[in-house]
Amino acid sequence: MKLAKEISDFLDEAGKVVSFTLRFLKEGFRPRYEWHEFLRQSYINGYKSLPLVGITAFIMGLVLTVQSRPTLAEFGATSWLPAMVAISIVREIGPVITALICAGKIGSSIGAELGSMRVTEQIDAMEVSGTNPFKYLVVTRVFSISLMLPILVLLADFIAIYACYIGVNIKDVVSWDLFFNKVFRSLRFSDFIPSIIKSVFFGFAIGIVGCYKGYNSQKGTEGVGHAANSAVVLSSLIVFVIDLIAVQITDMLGLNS
Amino acid sequence: MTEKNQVVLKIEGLHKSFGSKNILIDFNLELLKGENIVVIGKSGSGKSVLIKCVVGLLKPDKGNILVFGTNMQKMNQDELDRLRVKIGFLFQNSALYDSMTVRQNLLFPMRRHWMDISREEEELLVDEALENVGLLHTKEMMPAELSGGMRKRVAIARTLIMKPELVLYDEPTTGLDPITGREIVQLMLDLQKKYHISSIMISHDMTVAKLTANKIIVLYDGTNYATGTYEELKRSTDKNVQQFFEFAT
Repeated sequence: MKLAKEISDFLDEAGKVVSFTLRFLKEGFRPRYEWHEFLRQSYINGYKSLPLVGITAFIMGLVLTVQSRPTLAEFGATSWLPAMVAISIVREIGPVITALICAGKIGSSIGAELGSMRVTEQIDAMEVSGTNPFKYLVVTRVFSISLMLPILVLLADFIAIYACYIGVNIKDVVSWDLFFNKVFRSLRFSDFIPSIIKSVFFGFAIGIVGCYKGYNSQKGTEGVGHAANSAVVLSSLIVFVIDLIAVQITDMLGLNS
Repeated sequence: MTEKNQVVLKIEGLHKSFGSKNILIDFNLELLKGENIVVIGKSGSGKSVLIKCVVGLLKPDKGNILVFGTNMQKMNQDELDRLRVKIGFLFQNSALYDSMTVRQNLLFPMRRHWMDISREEEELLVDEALENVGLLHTKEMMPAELSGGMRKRVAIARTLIMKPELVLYDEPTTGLDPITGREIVQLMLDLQKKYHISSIMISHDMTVAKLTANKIIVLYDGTNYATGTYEELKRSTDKNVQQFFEFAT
């Protein structure tokens, strides 16, 4: 009986998220466009997330290099280190780690902000002032994260590859030119495209989930905490699901070889 | 019909329920231009639901709401948004936008509707609205830096900056000490006179009703249980009406 109720609740919630997403698609492309708020959100979600994403990417690139080196050294293949790290970062680690950081930072902040606006009637105040709060709050945030996340991923990729260069030079001496020659000889344009496309979907999922949880927050301040928390948990899970689907698609298209 | 007898708001047979719970049952109201009606009732009696239906935040199950002669139920979203410019709504907890300064809070509704207004005119209107509530010095402050009374005053300024013809007040003195509460009520009355506004005020406080109302409606069991002036209702022998006078000063 309890299981049946849980399944029913899950399906009910899933239906509401789908309906929320359809509303976004319906309202997101129709005027009036909230350019000012979109730019403000892009600044908050993009520029202000850069230090955290940058530091994480640097550590990620350095650690991956240092930890991979002994195994490659056993086979006398340390010269493959730049290529191996670069491919790992660009194809998988860069987009996923950046998305998870953004799910934590941006998803929770949107869930909490919209949740608190809901419980303090600020969203209602927006509506009675003749503003469509869905357009102003949800559409701008979802679009801004969908745009900013791929940019953050690209920056994270380059920072991580630079950290790899430093990591390689801890034990070996490799010139800048040689390092980047090795990296770019191994990377193809087709490595970047799937990574960017899936980053757009990661951003979209983080935005939609964060906004859905916050916009429909209930039960006062307790509901705000719950909205922030569940926004992070659900969007992180969805990031992995999207990644799983993306890797199957790229594999079918022969882009993983 | 003279301007004074012009009907600003007419509610006919309003029904609203949540699940199996009936909140409003066949509620009726008529508000004339310049009139102040106070709807009084206990907590949870559906007072806030009533004004949220009037402004379109909640959809009634049955009945008609005619604002300035137009039936709200038959309006599309754009028409409703245009109508909302003529309606001010003061929220119980002020509902100021936390992420904006006081100035930006006041500019927000203006920039949505008055596209052709210049920046200088905007600033003049903001200054005038803040001067009206005696808070010009808070212009660049954030709502979190203001006291409860100041937040309420800023919320009044934001409500009135669009020069609405009808204002809905949702328990304007809740959470304020009696002195500040009375100052807020006096301020509302002064501004209503200045801008010739009609209003509906939701309250559970008969003292507030005595100060402001031309007419009082007692909301009980979802219906207009009793209607009259303060003096008329005070003379009532009905215990459901009298209970509101027990703590009135």
